[in-house]
Amino acid sequence: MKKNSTPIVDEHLESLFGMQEAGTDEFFYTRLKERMQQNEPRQGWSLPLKPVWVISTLVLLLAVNGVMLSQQVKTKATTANSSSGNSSLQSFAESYDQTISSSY
Amino acid sequence: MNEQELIQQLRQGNEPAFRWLVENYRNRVFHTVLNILQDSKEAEDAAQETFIQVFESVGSFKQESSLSTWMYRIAVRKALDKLRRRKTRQRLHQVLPWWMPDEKKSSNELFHHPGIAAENKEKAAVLFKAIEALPEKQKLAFTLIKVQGMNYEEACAVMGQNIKAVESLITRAKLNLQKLLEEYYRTLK
Repeated sequence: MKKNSTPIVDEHLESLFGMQEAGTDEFFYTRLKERMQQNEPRQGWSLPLKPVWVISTLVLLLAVNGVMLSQQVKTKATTANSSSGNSSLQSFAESYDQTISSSY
Repeated sequence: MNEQELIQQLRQGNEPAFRWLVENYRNRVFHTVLNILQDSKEAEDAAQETFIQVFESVGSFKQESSLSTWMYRIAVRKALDKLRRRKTRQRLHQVLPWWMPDEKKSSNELFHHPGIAAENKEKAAVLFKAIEALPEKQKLAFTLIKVQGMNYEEACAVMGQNIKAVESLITRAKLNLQKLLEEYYRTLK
């Protein structure tokens, strides 16, 4: 005779014997209709407040923030490296062709 | 009203036909999703979503199976979607415990099925807890056949699997449950 390999499971399954069908109350249809009406396409817009959207937005903002910060640090370093005073003004003026030239 | 007439009327958006369908199937659909989800609130939600989808997509129902099998298939899919989302929430809770403080509390609670006799409630709750830990397919096969009492043929149609695959899932589910229950009682000692 084959030995029962799952005696505890079988013992627990007996506790389900005579299980009644769990049902909903008689207002289920009313709630369902209400939900269906709410689900109909709405005018206007709403904020997506699901955790996944909130976290993604936060991560995106942090990434943009990081990029902006690194750009700022880089710009400052470049400015500090270039020669100070008139020469930087001179190069700025040259780049925009704003040097004073007199035709007189 | 026979099934063909019912489908025709549902396709025409006939509200009394839809009401008839809901009133006749709401308990069976709710019972199915409750056994899978082990949570009355989520089961109500999944049952509502099932009927909404039936109403919206009956036009594309190809009648390769009976209307009730098709409906159960939708219900099972809705319940599994909710289970997956619950697992994601629980994982998120482990990383960010302050995000959803109620999540841990709900995951530790035992499920007491409303349809089980009072003297069997504790034992059944332990079994439900063990079923919850099974892999998804084993859990579904075991719940439909052993808990809900669905016959193999219907369960195969609902799950979209052949009989051998379902039998194998049941065997593996039982062996895994045996280990889980042994472990549970060992920790109690």
